[in-house]
Amino acid sequence: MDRTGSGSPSEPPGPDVSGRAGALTFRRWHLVFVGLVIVVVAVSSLLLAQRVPAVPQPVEFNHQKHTEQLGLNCEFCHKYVTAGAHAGLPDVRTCSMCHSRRQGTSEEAARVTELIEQGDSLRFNKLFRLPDHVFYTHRRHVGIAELECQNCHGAIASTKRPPKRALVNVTMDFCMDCHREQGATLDCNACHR
Amino acid sequence: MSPTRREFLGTLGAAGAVIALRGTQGVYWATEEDDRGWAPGIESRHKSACLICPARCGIEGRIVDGRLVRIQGSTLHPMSRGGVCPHGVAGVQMLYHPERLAGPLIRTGDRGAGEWREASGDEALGMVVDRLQSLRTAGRSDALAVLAGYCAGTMNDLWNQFLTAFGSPNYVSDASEDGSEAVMSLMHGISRRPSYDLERSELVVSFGAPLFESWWSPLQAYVAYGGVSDGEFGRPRLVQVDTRFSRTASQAQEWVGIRPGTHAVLALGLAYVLIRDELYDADFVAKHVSGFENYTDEQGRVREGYRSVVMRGYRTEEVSAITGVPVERITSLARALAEAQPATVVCGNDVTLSPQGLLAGMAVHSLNVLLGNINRPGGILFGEDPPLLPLVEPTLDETARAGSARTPAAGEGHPFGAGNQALRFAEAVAAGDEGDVDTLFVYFANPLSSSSRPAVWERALEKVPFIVSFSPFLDETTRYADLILPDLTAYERWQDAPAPSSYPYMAWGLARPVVEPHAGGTSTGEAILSVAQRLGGSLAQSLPYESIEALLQERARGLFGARRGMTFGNEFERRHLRQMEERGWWLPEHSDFDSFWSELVDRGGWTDLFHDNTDPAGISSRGDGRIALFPERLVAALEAEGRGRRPYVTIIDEEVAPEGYPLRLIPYRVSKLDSGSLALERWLAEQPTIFPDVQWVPWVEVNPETSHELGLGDGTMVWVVSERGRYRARLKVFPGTARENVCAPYGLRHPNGEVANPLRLLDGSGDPLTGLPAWFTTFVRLERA
Amino acid sequence: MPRWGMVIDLDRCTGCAACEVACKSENNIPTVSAEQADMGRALSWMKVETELEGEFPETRLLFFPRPCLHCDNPPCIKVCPVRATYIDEEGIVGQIYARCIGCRYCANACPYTVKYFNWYDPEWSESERQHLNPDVSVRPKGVIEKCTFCHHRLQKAREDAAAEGRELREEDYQPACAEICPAGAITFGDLDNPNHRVHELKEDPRAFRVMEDLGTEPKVYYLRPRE
Repeated sequence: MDRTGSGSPSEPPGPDVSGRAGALTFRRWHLVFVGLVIVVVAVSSLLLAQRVPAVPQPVEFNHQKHTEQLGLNCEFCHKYVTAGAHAGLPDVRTCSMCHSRRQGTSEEAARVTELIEQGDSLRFNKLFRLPDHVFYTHRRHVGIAELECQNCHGAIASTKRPPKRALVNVTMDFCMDCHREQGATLDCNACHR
Repeated sequence: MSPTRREFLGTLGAAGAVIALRGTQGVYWATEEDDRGWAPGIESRHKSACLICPARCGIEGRIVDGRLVRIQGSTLHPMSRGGVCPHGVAGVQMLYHPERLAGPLIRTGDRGAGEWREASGDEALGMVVDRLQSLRTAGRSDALAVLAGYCAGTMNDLWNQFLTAFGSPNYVSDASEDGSEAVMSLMHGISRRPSYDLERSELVVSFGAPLFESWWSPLQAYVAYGGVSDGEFGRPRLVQVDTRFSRTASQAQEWVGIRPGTHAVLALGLAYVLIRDELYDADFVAKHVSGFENYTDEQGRVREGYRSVVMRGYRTEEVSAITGVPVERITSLARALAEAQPATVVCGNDVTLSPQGLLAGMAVHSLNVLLGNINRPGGILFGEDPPLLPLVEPTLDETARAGSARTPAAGEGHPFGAGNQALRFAEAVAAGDEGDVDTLFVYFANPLSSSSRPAVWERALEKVPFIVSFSPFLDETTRYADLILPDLTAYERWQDAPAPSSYPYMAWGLARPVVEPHAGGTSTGEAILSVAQRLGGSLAQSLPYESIEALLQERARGLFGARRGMTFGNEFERRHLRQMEERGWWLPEHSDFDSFWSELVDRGGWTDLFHDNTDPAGISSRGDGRIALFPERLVAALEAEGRGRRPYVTIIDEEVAPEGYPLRLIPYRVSKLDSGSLALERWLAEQPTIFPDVQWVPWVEVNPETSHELGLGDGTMVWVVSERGRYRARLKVFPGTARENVCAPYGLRHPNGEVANPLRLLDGSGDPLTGLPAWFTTFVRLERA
Repeated sequence: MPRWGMVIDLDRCTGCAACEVACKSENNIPTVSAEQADMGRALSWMKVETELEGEFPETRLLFFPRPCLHCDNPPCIKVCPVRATYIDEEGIVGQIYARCIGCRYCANACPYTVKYFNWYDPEWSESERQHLNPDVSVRPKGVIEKCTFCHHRLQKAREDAAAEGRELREEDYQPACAEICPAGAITFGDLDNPNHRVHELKEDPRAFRVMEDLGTEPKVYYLRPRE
């Protein structure tokens, strides 16, 4: 018999405790079901929230080639890294300092030269994003405190092609742990204003 | 394992929070990103000058990634010393105003219908050039007129040079005048508004001068009042003689409430006590003043002198009865004036904008003469213009000579002043034939909003076939234009910013572009230069400058070669220069002009803080070297009038309120929303005045008892009605207003754009000697709106 | 550890409200419509309040510039259910917008009414966004905001001092209101540092604090006008 069919007029009235319990159980399961749906939605949206979409780049930039092999320092392309809030991304002028003529043998390098000749603006996209309510400056961390780039950005300098997502997941804990170690400020105001 | 209600809600909340967070991210906090998705946040600071009001304070722009994000004060400016008024701070809202015109517009529909087509700067300038060329070809160069607001300095010189070379006498000033220049010209023979050395003064007695509101330079007054020059000078004591409880009155150490139009009587009442108790500077008067004692005039008649007139007519009790100021306050104020070393008496609009304005102004200024506070530190000084090189000598062709020689459209003016030149011009144009004035340039002026007679202006504009407005906004007058060539704001163009006449020392500020200029804007100065070049011939020769920057640089060579002064410097440098120059020393800081100019630009201007107090020409430039209490020209003019007027004798009028209009209108300017140009800076609309609860909507101030009698409570929307017109405002009950007055701020608009201008209600009377309107002789009633 | 505080000389204040507008410009404070302003929903972290006494012609008016008083014992932080408002080690009462749930308990707990609720999303047009200060948030609808003593300037000043390898000086860190005041009525600094002007000024015989009996221990002192 359908025990969940409570409230049916065919059920005899009376002090049937189990029947009442059955009604409650149904409501309970109903609640659990709705609750589960909501939890699934919540969890998946939480996951989605954290799963930042892949960041496309205009060319398959090889960090390793430029840094480890050619010996360029980070500031060569990220020119605001010691003075600005944002480190800055290179624009076509930076690339064309070398790539206006064909460099090396790779196809990608040839493509860069082509794009420059076509007048493409070569807009690189921001890979590393902090939430908007966090106020961070590279000047404070790199220019003044002289932290290494890889502290927060990981082994980006050794990548051979642009990663689709940031190599390090910077959370508030990540910041706070370092601030505690370094004896830096732990005041909320310092980053949230 | 079943969830409780609490858990259930908790889960729901968490999901909601996630969704909510996703919703707001990237929208509200994202101020740092530009269209690349990031911005470096690179910051710089540039000194410049504020051009919003005549004070011309020194400012420092904070620029982040090319955007002007803050306007701060420049501590190097000798007058403003790091301060700026709220108006100046809110300048960023003018620069980035959403309603700024995107570029030149040419009218396509009927006048005022609001139909326009966009044009390039080149096309717009070409249109102007063609029009002007045809005027010159037809020999009608005088049919060009320029209506310009306050633009003292090179902009003013540039317009005049252009008109002279073009051949038109029609430079029409729409800047506000206070009549003080006429007083100085008559009494001292110096045609210059007086300067007040407030910060070195011990006592400042202001007769209705709105020092903290809309004076020549509120900043000069703030700096003196706050003693910001600490260490160098002390703080003066401020006494405000005022008909209303103005902001200045409220913060003065003493407020002397007075009946409207009786300031001059009080001044002579003070003179009475000074003379009676022998407290005046007898030495100074004997050496430097004529007309104090009875004298014999050119016709050999014996005339009554100042002493006798005052002793006879201004006994303290009588003065008290007329002015409403208690006897003991008159006596104590006179004593304070005599004791203070030195004191300064400042004469404001409330005195001179009256039917007896010129005589009343002289009566108030006579206190300075009596106390010998002329050309003394802390007294009245006559400033100097900075030693700039003049513009090149204009080249005049036949057309220019003939045109300039014609009578100006505004007529010849009044015996002792230009008066309300703009209104006279409008009246003449409205009364004349269509096309008498063919082309009108409107620069920094908006008469349809600010004038006391907008209807006259409307008729006048109808008679002008071609109107060019240089306003960056579509204001009331600009809507009537045929062509709009939007100017750049003060933060995007070059212009010099000489300190206003009230400041006794030379301070030549320099406004320069601190951000990339708006793409559709054209600096009006550059437009004049370019029109002159395109017209060619004598005009091109008269304005041979590549740009305004080049012109200013050329003129600054005069400063470089003057062997005095310095580029703006800090407190220490200022004091050092003053002390050096007082000892007759001056050392050059720059070996070549280029380094001088680059430092001048960097520091925002040039200054000289030395004033030669020993030069007798600083007291009087009249033939006899004395200050005339009874200037012959004036006395003769008064006799010719045949109304029996004499200086210090007839200084007030009997006034009776007309039937049905029981309250006297007291219009006043609000510092933050002056002259009808605003509603543009929204931050200012939130607290336009001293009432924290008055926001956005124009108001009028009424005494609580008057409000009670009228049955119109605080916050009621009322019509302010005079015999000439009416306007809408919100009633504000304020115990600082006298029962018989209605105080009405000027320069406001309703949020819907409706102009609330009390000047439109004025009865049209004025002083025939100066041509200035009377502001305080109009009576009104209030009606529920 | 500094204890930041302010001394406002009512004898010098001219009521010009430059402090108010400088604060709005520095801290990206939006305007609301005229109707909403009438309902008391305008935001003004620094507000020139007035106190009026007497009738014409014996009227007296006192201007009272009122920022957040940054109490040492702030009532607002005790009622915040989410710790969005708190007092930091240097005495600045902070407001963390990302945490704030908009319950407005703190606004009601504040005896000085310095906390403002955002009834609307701020309206900045595309062009106006250009003058926003990138060092400060634009607050969304539904959160409380208030004067922060321009603590973002403290961060900057510390950065600058560190970059130049020196100690923080008094003039390095000044809030926008103190910096702009044309009459020099607002003084700011470390109340505990004998080299800062506020240290001495707060001991001035004219000095007082507002509603001292509440035990809030505000760090904004006022100097009574001279008679």
